[in-house]
Amino acid sequence: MKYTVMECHEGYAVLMGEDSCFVRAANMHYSVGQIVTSPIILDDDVKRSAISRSVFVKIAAAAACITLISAVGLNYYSKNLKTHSVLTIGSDFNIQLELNSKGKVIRMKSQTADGKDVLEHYDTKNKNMVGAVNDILDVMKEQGYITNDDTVELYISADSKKESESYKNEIEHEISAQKVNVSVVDKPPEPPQKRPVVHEPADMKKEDEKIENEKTEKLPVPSAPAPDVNKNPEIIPVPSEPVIDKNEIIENIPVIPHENIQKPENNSPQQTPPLPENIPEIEEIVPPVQTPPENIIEHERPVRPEPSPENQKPPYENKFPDNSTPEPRPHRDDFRNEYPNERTKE
Amino acid sequence: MSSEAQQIAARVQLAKNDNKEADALIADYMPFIKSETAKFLKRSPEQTDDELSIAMFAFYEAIRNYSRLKGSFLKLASLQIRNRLIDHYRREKRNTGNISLDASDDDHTELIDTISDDHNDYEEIELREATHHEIQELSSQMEDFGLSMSDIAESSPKQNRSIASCSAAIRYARNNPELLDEFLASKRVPLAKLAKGASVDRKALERHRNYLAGILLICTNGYEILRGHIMQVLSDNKSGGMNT
Repeated sequence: MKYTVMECHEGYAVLMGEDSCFVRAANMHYSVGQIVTSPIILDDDVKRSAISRSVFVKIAAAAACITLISAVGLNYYSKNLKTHSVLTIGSDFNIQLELNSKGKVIRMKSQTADGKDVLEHYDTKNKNMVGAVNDILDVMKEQGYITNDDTVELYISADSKKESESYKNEIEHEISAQKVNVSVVDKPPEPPQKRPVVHEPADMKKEDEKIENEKTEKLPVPSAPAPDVNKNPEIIPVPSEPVIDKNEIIENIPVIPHENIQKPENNSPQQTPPLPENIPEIEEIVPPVQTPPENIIEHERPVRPEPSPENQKPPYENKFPDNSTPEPRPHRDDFRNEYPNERTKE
Repeated sequence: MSSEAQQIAARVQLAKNDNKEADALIADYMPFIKSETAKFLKRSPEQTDDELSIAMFAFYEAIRNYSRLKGSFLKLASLQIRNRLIDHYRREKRNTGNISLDASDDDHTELIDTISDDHNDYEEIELREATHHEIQELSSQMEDFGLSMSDIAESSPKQNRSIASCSAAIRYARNNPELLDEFLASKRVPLAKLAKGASVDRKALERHRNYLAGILLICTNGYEILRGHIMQVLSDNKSGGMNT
């Protein structure tokens, strides 16, 4: 932008730009009326954007403060308020002590009734882990949940193995009065759930009998149970008749040569060849008669009522009583003659 | 604080609002300014050196920025001069690879003499003299209105939005000559009419009252060259020159 020098002073000159703005700049041996470019303008007269530098600095400072505060708060939270490890006392009590990175108890909870009862009598907040465990064991002893001879199980679940090992060593050394069984686990054990309802054997027997009865009712012929020979030695099994194989019968049939076969006479009835005498008799296999089950109710078929003279249809009327042949149907050519087509006209 | 430092501080406070006092202060402390310049240049500065002009400008800036809370004025001025000279040195360093037009060959012929120049020096000198004459007239007329160029520079708009508002008001006044006549007669800027006519906020114009007075004076008859310099603002084409 070009500037016209409007006034000259000892230390500065007043210039007028093409945008009609007046600025103060360094007087580089200017003379009034001279047109100059790229002068050194006073900082106060430099054009500013809508957000001035001071406002920008304030916004930046505020953002920096918020970032700093949030970083400090996050650090405090992660060190003091975030749960880094969980110590569970007894699988039955399931008292869980949540510890921060410093090993202090942040909060404690239990999902079992006994655990809640123990925790009602004690507050372990902001206490050391070992002290809290000792106090809780004392409370459990006072309330009679455990005795000196009992073994208390402790489960440690920490972010790192190092922490869990250090907690384990600490507990094993510090809590020497009790019999403590410490184990490191990945996750804290779940509280004992309610036992599922187990059917008694008597009930099972009843159910089996019911099922068997249902089966027998459905069967068409009730069959008596087979006697157990092993249980009742008095019962002697009846030897069943030998089963004759069909192939054996065929083999025993004597073979008659073809020449010896007497041809029957024309008028004489056909004679069957004589059967061999040694053929054993085969019992005729009678299929068992299936009696219908008693549950099936036979419905009687509805009897069609005899037609009354009123309901009877009129007899077929013969259209041709004189046995005369009906008139033949008209042929299509007859219609053509009556209604000639244009083609036929031509 | 010693009595001498108190005197300097008192003079600086006066020079903040009085341009003549500022010029006098600068003139009185020229040896100090030269010594600070010499520290940077590591030689005695000459009167034609740009560094000396920049050092004097930095001293003027120190006068404007000084407050008693900042301690000794001379220390502040020394720091300001040094910073400005460093800025000037860095700016000039970008042009170190360029050849000066005043450089001479073996034949003692300067480079500027070998370049064809379309400029007519006589016309340029005449134009500069005519501009100088107009500016002198404008300055004398401003004195009647109680204004100076420094006052106008002080109240000149800096932000693009305020520049646009003032430009709209100036265009409206130029299209309505009766407003300029009223301004010359009453020697008061008709802010209410300008704001209403140009559809701008009156408060936005009030902050730049002195600036508007100076530009309205230029818009009156007799300042053709200056009007031509700011023609892009006076023309109705609003898009010109506002974003530069």
